[in-house]
This record gives sequence, C-alpha cells and structure tokens, in this order.
Amino acid sequence: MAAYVIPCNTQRPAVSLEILDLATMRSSEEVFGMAPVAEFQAVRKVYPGRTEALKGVDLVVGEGESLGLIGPNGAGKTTLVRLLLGLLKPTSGSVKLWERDAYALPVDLKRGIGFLLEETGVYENLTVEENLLFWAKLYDIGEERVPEVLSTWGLLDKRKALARTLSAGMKQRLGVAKALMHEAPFAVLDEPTSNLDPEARRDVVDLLQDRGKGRILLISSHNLFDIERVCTRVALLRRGAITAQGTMEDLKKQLGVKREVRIRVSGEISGDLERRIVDRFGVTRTADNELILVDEATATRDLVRYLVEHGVDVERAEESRVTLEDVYTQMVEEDEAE
Amino acid sequence: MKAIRVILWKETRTFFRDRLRFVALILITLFFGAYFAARYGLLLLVPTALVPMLAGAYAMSQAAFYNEVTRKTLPNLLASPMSPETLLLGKSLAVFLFSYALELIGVTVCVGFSWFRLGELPTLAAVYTALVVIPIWGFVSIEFFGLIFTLVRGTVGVWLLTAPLYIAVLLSVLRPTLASKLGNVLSSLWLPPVAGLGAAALLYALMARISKDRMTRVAS
Repeated sequence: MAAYVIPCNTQRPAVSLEILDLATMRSSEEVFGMAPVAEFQAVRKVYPGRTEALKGVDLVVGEGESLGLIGPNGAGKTTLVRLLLGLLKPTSGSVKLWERDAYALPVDLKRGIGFLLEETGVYENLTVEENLLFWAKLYDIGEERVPEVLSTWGLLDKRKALARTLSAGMKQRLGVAKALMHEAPFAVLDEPTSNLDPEARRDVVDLLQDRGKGRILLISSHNLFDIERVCTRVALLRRGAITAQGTMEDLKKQLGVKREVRIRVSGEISGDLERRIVDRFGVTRTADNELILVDEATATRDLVRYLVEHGVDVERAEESRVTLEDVYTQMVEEDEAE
Repeated sequence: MKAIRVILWKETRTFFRDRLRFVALILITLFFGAYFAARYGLLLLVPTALVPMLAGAYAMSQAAFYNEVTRKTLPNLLASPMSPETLLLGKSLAVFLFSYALELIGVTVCVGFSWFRLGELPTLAAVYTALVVIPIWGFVSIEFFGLIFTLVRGTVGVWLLTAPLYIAVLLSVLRPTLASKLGNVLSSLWLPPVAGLGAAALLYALMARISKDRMTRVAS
C-alpha cells in the first residue's frame, strides 16, 4: 500500500494559492450575520509615481469580530489600515466606517476608534505618563485612568522616564496601551507585536485577547502565531489584493492545513486487523510500521486503545500540523520566486 | 478649543524638554536685547523684538511641525479626533506664545537697559510696533513655517523656502539701520497689522485646505 503523506510542519502544503478564488470571499454579514462596521468596496489606491498599492479590495469587518490581516511586505497592509483610519483617500472605490466615508469621518465617530500605526506615535520628549495623559486628554477620557493603564501594561515603574530612554519593546507596549486605553469599540492595530521580545509579545497577545473581548479588532501582522491566537477571521493580502479570507478553520481547510497523527507500532499487524483499522479509522499504513491518521483528537485515543486491546504495542504517537505560518511562508516564497 | 488646549499642553512640555534649543533661544534673546540697547539705545527696539520672534518662530516651528514629520508621529495626530486645521492652528499658537514670551524678554531687557543707562523710554509707536505689529507678522511667519515643514519633504527644500526669513533676521543683526527703517514702516498705525491679520487668515485658509492624504504621504 502506498503511503499517503499529508503536509506537516516539515513539508510545505502542496496547495497552490492561486486556486483560492474569489468564491471564498464572503462578507462577514453573509458568514456570521453581522452588521458591517468597516467596509472596503472595490478600493484602489495608486500613489504618485503610479505605484498601485491596492488593486480593488473588497473587505468587510463585522460587529464583534476580530479580523487578522496578513501578507508579505509591500502587500498593502499599511495602506489598507491608513485608508480605514481616514489618513489616505482611495483612488477609486469606497472605504466606510459605520456607513460613513472613513476619510471624512466626524470627530465624534473617530473617538470610537483606537489605533496603533506602524510608527507608534510615542513622543520621545514626553515621559511615559505624559504620553498617555496627552492621548487621554485628546480622547477626553479622564486622566484618572492613566495610572490604571500604566499598571495594566506593566509601565508603572517607567512612568516618569522619558520615552526616548525606553527600549523599542517598551515603546511598542506604550503604543499599544495608547491605542487601547480609551476602550474604543473598534481597535485597528498595525503590527502590534513588532519589536517585542518573546516574553513581552506573549504578554501583549494575552492582553489583546483579554482587552479585545467584545470589541471589533483589525490587526495587521507578520506574526501569524499572534493572529491565530487573537483573531477569529483572517484575510490574506498579496500584491494589493485579498486572495483569501475566512475563519481560521475555513482558511486552514482552503489552504490544506491539516492535523496529522503518526502512530508507530512494533510487531506485526495481521492483514485482518489492518483491514479493520483502515475501515474503522481511515488510517493509512507506511512501510516502516507507522499508521497515519488524519482525524479529530478523539479518534487518536480510540485507535490507540483499539490497537492495545488487540495486542499491538504502540511505541509512540506524534502529532504534527500544517500551521497558518507554513501556508504564509509558502506564500512569501512564491512571491519571492516570481 | 479643547483640542487646541491639549496641543498647547503637549507642545509646551516638548519645548522645555528640548534644552539645547531652549537655552540657545534664551541666550540669543538676552544677548541681542542687551547688545542693541548698549550700542544703539532704543533706536533698535524693533529689531530687538524681531530677532527673538523670528528665531523662536523658526526653531520652535521646526520642533512642533518638522519633528512630527521626520519622526513620523504626524499620522497619529491626523487619525485622532481632531481636524488637521485644528492641529496646525494649535501648533502655531503654541509656537507663537513661546516666541512672544521670548520677544517680551528681549524687549524688557532692551528697555530696561536703556532706561537704566540712558534714562530713555521708548516711544508709543515703537512699543506698538514691538508688541502688536511684530507679533502679528510673527504669527504669519509661524503659519508659513508650519505649512513648509508639513508639506515639504527634505531639508534642502525647507532651507530654500525659509531662507528669505533667515536673511531678514541676519540683515537686522548685521545692518541694524536697515531693520530700523523696516521698523518705521511697520510702525504706521493701520496698514501693517491689518495686512498681517489678512495674511494670517489667508494662511489659515490654506492650512484648512491641505489634505490629510498629502500630509500622511509626506510624513511616511
């Protein structure tokens, strides 16, 4: 019997991203029945010098949803975030926030957005506390919130330090704190975990998970691990176009992301037993006494129990996955190869 | 108004933290106040007011506008709940108040020195020019610097566009008699302040027309 090997961590998925057609691009309203909060319709953005950053993007962010925006450098993520924040005007198409033109959003509605741009907006000649005070005053949220925010984001010890003396990671943390301090219903974060060491990154992701509850989030990141943890839906942006979007699970299915369990057994498996486990569990058997199972976690337990009950020694069971990161890496490699 | 107050709060703190710039401006103001008074008495009260106003306007406009562009913090302010013209006006006011304070220090030193040494007191026309006309034109120059610093990418362009004002300051220092004549022109009662207010209004209208798109692209 020929071994059937599905892609795992060490093998890139054999799926071509070109086949991820527009049919997968359903709006969140169609998918979840949510009212759209942010809506991009056929948005093109051409910079002077004819650089086309976005080529007709359609994207919807729904109420209560957290959308992760991933894509290689130069894919157009920052342009998309800037269009949403009303910093840039689309060359054609429309960008709407709460059904209003994002570029001309009234000041009152702007208060409903917390944002972090690639450049964090930290003022180097102000102290950490003054930086937060400035944004607290600007958003009219009461200065008494500042100590609480400093404490939540682990900045209390540094509150009197000038921002220019902070490490890049601490500045990033301050930027994220600034973005979320007024608990706006909609948070737009461009690369929130860049410049952070692993520990700080974990803390920020934990806080994003915690503080993001009940809010609409749009997070652009290179870090897929963070996106996987925080976002319920992902959109892939390549060369200025959305090539795929959906829930994490949708996307994994579309991209051939699978879970695979390899069970190594010792001793002989009779032909009869092999037929039975193939029929019952849908496993395949490799030449070197490995059983490969592509199924839910419960099936692994059942299979192991079944084998033991039938006198087969199970040496080890190993699980591997094709993560979103594998898919993303393949996408970047394809882009670079072209 | 609240947004303008917040911008004033932030800029004031930033100015005082920029020690090198701050100390240099204070020293320039004190030096020219005392130097002009010692050498020419109150004849050069107008240049004494002009030098700190324009030096402050340039140096602090650079801190308030240009640093936002070069440090790429401007898009954050443009995305905040504040219109671009409010932002630019708030910054212009912050620079103006600082420069006006500098000017007052320079004028006080000059008048005090002249009175103490020569027993001279300035004419009403000179006081009017120093305290009303020059600040109005100082505000115009701040708006002008603000526009240049916000819209022009690259130091060479900024230098070229702001060179005429630099030359004016330089001339008032090197050729004080020329500056004194300028002072006489400025001291006429109606035309200079009215023209100054008109220019300020025109520049504010220009500020209100700059697109966020353009400012974002310059600051990116």
